[in-house]
Amino acid sequence: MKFRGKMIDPNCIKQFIGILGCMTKLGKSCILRITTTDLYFIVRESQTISASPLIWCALDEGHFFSEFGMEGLSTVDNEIYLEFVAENVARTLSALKVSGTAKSVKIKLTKKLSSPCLTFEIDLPSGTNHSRLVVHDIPVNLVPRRLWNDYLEPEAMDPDISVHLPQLRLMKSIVERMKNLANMATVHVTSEGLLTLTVETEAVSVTSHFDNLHVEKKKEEEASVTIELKRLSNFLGHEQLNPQKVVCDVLQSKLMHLNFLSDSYTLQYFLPGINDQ
Amino acid sequence: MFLFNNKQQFLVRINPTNRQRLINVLHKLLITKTRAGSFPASECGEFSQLPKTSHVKLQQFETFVMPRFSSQNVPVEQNHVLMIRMDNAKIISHILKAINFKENSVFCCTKDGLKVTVEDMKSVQLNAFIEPGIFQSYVVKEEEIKFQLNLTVLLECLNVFGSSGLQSGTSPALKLYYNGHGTPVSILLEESGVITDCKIRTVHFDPVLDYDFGTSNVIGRIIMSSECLKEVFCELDSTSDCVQFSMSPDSANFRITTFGHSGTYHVDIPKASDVIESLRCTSPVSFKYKLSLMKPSIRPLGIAQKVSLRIDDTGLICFQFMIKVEDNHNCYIDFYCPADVDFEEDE
Repeated sequence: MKFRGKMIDPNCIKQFIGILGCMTKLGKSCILRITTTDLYFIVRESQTISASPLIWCALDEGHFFSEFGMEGLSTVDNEIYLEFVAENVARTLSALKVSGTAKSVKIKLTKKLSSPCLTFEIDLPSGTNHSRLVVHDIPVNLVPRRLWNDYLEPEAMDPDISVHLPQLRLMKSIVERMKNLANMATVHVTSEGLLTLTVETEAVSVTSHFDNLHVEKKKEEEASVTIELKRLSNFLGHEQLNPQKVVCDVLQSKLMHLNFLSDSYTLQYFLPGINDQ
Repeated sequence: MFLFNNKQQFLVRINPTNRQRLINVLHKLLITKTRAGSFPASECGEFSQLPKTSHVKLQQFETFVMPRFSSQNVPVEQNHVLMIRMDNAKIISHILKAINFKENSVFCCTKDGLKVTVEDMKSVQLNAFIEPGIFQSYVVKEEEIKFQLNLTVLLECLNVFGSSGLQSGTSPALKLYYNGHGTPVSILLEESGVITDCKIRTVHFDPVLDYDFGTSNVIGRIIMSSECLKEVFCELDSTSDCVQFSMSPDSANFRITTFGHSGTYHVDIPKASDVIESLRCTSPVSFKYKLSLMKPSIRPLGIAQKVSLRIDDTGLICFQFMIKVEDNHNCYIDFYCPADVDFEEDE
């Protein structure tokens, strides 16, 4: 198995760091799936039986990498599945962020430290003509073929209602506050493009109304789901990814599905509904 | 959503967003009320036929409940005994944040303004006074309206759109209303087209201490810049249990003393200095106060322009902080703390 990719465009590097940062904050362990066309980051909820992923993120290799090469498990299964501890990558990222813009970032699958590693080679600019090369080796586990099925692409869902989310910044600050009041909130969307977020506690009930949202799809007149505020707030913290739009699908009582859409990547976030009855 | 009056009747204001929830709550409520025997069984019978599915049409529900139970109640909007409207909710949250050293707060509204009291252990008390001029509209229909609620929750609500400083960031518009004893305080906030409505439950009202601070008993009074006093307060020796304020007609200084492990510190502020605007003292004053009890005064001190310090003959100290909130409006926060008797006896 082989994999190497090189990024030179500062915007791509920035975006890549942003997405990777998102993964590291949302999950403990993360799966990297490499195919000939796309790079996938998958975070699954730990300690649950449900096979559905929490995050599913697909990156277009052609957009991010100026040079790219991979050789999968076999010609039939020409893919690579790696598992890494998100925290380790977070450290690499902090090195990247502190030093400002890197000239280039190379990512390779190597065999060092007696285990397979994902090697980040970061070429940093310096005051003098000498360039600095920072190398991070992140130990990874190769996911055996028989477990690949655990990380299948989630099936296209059929939402009851699907709307575009309002400004994330505004929504984030509201969710942040609500988080201080309660653990759970109920999201309710209508086919008229009204989204409400409600928390109820013994001391207070708070409802925020966002109206005039663009409705992408409607099967029902309305739908609502109760979700964990901490998770929603974690996710909304990634507004800096600057997606073109964020689509929110609601499946009555079951699921809130957030989809960051951009030309070069898609990031899907699954928030399972909590039964509060 | 539910308003109970003491006759076990209720008015349901239907909010489409919570229909399913509402029905569920109604069902639960029915069961508990029936068990408690406080709900006439005849009415229950009809209630139990409420559709249980989530696909009930809103109209169905409305016709089912409204005519029967809302007939005796005038529309909710006209029931307000208190209505406050302001264009910038930041101002009120700025003031209230400064007194939020305990969760419980008592609101007292009269035509002269709004007074919010937070106290601890029936001794230390912080009062915020907000004059009606700060609000765009302030309607009080009764002589005095008092209610108690969780101030921390109120502040979370007021800052729902973000809480950067008074000048910067967002400034949501606020409408607050209250319908009288036993009802929640409703708050509507609007910012960039997004509306948030909050209903904060009021709790049983505990009377607060009324410090009778008559001007005749005041033996020492200083008006000074809060900046200077804040610096002094922040640097007080924290190993000391108490802090002593002293002044006398003969002395040239206002003295603040701490008694810590490493020694006794005096901070002397000369009467003639620029930071003291006026100092009046009729007889020598020297009282000690628990340092821990003085702590809640630091936050209002931080946002105040000026502070007036008064001590009466029993040692009760009162700080009055003047806080400039808008071009020509000031808010005031009072801080009361009684002198520590134990320390007096030690001497």
